[in-house]
Amino acid sequence: MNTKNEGVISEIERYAIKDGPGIRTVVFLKGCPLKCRWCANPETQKSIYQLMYWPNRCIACKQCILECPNNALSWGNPGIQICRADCASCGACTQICNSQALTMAGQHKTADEIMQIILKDLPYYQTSGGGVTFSGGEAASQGEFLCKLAKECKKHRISTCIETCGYAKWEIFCELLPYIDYFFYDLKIIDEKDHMTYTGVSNKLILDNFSRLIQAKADVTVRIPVIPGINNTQKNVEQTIRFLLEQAPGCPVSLLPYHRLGASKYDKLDMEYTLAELAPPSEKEMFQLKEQFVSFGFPVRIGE
Amino acid sequence: MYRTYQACGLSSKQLQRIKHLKEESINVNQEVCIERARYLTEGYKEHADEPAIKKRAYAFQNILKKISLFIEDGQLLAGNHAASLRAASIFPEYCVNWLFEEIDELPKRPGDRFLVPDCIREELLDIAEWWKGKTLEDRCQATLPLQAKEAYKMGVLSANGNMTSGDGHIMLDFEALLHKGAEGIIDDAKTHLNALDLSDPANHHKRIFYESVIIAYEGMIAYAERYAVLARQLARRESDAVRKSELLAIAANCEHVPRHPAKTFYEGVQSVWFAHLLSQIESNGHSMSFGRLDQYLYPYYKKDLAEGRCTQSSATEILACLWIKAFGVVKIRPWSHTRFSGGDPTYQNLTLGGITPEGEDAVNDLTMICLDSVSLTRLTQPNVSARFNEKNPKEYLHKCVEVIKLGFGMPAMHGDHVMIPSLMKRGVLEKDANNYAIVGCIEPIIPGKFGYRSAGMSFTNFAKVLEITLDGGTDARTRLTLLKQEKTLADMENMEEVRAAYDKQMSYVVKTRVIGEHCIDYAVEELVPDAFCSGLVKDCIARGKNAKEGGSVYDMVTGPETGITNAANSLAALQKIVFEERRLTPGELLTCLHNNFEGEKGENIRRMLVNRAPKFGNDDDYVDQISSDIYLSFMKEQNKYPTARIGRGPVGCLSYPCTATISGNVPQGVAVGASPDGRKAGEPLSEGCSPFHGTDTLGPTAVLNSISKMPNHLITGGNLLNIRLSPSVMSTEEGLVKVMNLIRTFFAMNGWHVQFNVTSTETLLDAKNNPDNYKDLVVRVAGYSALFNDLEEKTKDDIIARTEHDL
Repeated sequence: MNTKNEGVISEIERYAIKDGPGIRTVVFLKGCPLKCRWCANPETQKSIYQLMYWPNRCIACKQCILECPNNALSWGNPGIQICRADCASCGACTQICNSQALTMAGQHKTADEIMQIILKDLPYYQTSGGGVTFSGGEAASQGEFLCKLAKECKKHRISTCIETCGYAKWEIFCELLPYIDYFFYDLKIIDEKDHMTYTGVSNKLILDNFSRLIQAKADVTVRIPVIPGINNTQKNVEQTIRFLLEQAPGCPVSLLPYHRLGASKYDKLDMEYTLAELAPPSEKEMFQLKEQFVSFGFPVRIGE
Repeated sequence: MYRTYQACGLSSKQLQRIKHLKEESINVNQEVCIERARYLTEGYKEHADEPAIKKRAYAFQNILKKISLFIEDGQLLAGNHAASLRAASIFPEYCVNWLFEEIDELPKRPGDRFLVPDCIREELLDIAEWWKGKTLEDRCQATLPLQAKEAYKMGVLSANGNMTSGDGHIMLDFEALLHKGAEGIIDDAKTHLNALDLSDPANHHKRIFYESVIIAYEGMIAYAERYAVLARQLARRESDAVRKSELLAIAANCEHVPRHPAKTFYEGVQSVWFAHLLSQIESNGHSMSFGRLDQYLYPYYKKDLAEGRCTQSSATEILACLWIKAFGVVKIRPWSHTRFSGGDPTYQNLTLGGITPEGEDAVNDLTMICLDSVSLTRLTQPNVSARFNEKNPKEYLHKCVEVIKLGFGMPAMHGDHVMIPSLMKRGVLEKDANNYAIVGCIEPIIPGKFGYRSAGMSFTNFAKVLEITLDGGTDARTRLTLLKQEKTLADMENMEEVRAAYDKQMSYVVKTRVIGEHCIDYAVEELVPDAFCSGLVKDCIARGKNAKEGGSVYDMVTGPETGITNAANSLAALQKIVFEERRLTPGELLTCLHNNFEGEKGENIRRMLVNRAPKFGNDDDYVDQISSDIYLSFMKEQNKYPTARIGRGPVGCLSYPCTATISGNVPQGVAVGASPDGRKAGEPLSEGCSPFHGTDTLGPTAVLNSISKMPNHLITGGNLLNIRLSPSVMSTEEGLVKVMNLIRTFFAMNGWHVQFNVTSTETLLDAKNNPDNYKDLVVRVAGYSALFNDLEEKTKDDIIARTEHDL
């Protein structure tokens, strides 16, 4: 398999302490086959560059409007308006904007460039048992590039971890297997139709890949984002437990309470956040859910 | 030796005592106390014919024999700094001019307010009148050359605290007092005195010195005896049987110590407190520090525990009482100095952990008890410093991080394996270097072997020096000239020219600083020599010299450098934006700075300087290298000049750098105009070596990496780093361990010091209401971290709620 030399990433976050063991660096790869309604990182969904506008940083100098070669920017209420149809994500406006009110989600980086950043915190990984976590978007959607990065990490004996929705060709996971130490694998909804409604795709591939990973003896932690009224229903909880009892009894489970912290990013991308009124689950609800999984022999953590 | 330690619960009665004492101390309305000033002046007048040191010893004794005594209800230790709780004593021998101007302002000033009772106002002014022209400040003003005075006016240097608030920054040889008692020290002085051949002219001063030591320590014994009498009187009148026995125990303690060697842990604490307190009554300076209390009191604790005289909880309780006592020492400073030391801090440092002089793990049960006791009191004093050494047990670092999590900013963590070699490189013996302790904020010294003012010398303002350089050598604010240059930035053609001009100015500033310090040092030596303190500093007695004239084993001094980060960021912006990318001409930038970024394009240019040039604290070699370079060239200059004690006995007599800026970054910023890093005129400078507020955007590892690239092993005076962490980072045991590992890695990479601000919900709420004050607050959002200010209001609320949940 030939290896891609460049990938598209949205961000590299250092000192991440809730994305796997120890102190980690998280590489957010852009592009995701799912469109979950609760997605907290909407800027990572598309694999192309996306312009974001931060009105509270803008000083209304309007230089960007003059600079845009496609006339995609105008002054309106509030602040800069982006005509998405005309915007070519060329970045001319972000180059002129000294205030960082216009920023580009997405940049091409070579594996070497990313490794340079990763290696800066090597001593912290070593003392804390940390390493690198590949996240997204869906990291596996840039399968070849991801493999290359994971192999590079292993050359430096850096621990690797992937946060995945599971929606990728099995061949990609198969190739990744020797180079990934921990899989954080999302199981959002078990019912196929519901899954399609809320994420936009069928979950057949996801469930198949999950079973295969377990059979391949990968170190898998199941992650369930707990979205009130959508997947914490009695039906979905029972189906999830039944699926896990069949496929991976005793597998560690992480329950991630829904939060609205990504909501404000939708405006910056001119996207619509359809769960605007939904409240996060209460501590009590989370605890009850945890108890349900625990009673079937699953070790459960909340929030990580 | 440390094995396993378990925190013990205190009884509700013990907790009640601590709570009560703490509340009484915090709720007191601070006022000015005249008694020290009154009895000191009386002593000076009565012994006007004596040499300075002996006159002061008599005056010191007079204070101790006459100052009003009291024992706080429920307190287990005796001895107070003033005649009422948390009142501030006046030190007229240091400066009085400010009193005439500020006496009626004291209750009204913006911070650090003090009441002046009507009944003392006239007497205080009379005392001040008598001192006019005789004070340390007066002497300094009379002897300082114009060159130094102008540098102070411009704000490139500041030495105000040294002239008005004294020297301090010393750590007594508490071990000697515990072993010998005050009588032992008097005996030592007498033995030396009797052995002097007075026909030898060199011995004249020695005789006066020994006689002064004897007078001072007789005063100490008399003071403790007065407390014994008071405690017995109070016990007689006390109806509560438990309190009666406590008062009798205080009386018994004060009858025995400090006169005799301590026999028990409780006596040891009382004896240490007396010595620590009296050093702060004798001399005006701050940062008198406890040193390694967990080392010198441990043998007493161990023996008492084995023999059933104390328990872990009673020791915790006594130490909590000691910390509340330390909190009771209050400093009043002229407003000019208060701005550099906001919140009337006294910097009484307590050092824990590390290794023994022989190089073994020094953590013991008392180390852990100290940490437990400070988490009970959570006061601003003592200022707790934890030494970190790979030999220390994991449980110790774990406990330190647990205390950090409580959010009062302590303990500050210090890395042994940078500090020890750094001290040795300066000429400190290995055994002594292993035994270092922190004085004041972050400055390592050798307990009982360093002289006064080992730290706290003049402030040097790097950002101001750069501003004057860019302006051609003249300060725009005062119109005074530092060193005349031919060109301003407008005519400079490349970075080399800028750097050469800057280095030249800095070289002149360092020399000026030294000239000023010599004047102040000699004034201190001549006017305010201290016999009491010198009795507990090695080798004063053996050498027959007080600490201020070269009696100490080592003489190494340091003063804070402020605004290094601003200077480095500014030079990086100049290099990148002006000379490399040519987005602005030098002249355009200079005009923009003079206009404080006002005018049509001003704010846009400011943001370009902020966002398009590298900033220190982001692990970017471009600017990190500049920061190291400018600090190294400063050090090269500093190395040229010895201290005033050179050739008079001590090892060293040298100065080294330090970034403990305390709150001086704020007033020093006031004097600095807009800078090329995008900082507006008058805004505070960066604190210590920390990144400038809000410019570190890549998280703590990037900050630590930037710091670790500095020449840390040469910053023997200490390199101060403040990091603010959200409490959610430490909400779980795993999070706690990750912070432990962050600290361990930082020290493994030659980090010097780090302290954490764990932000509370209250702070977040305040941050929401006053965003401008919290520009650097980073919070974890969702799979990423963000600047708190960048979040929308609802998200902020969400995070506030979540943080509370995490705690």
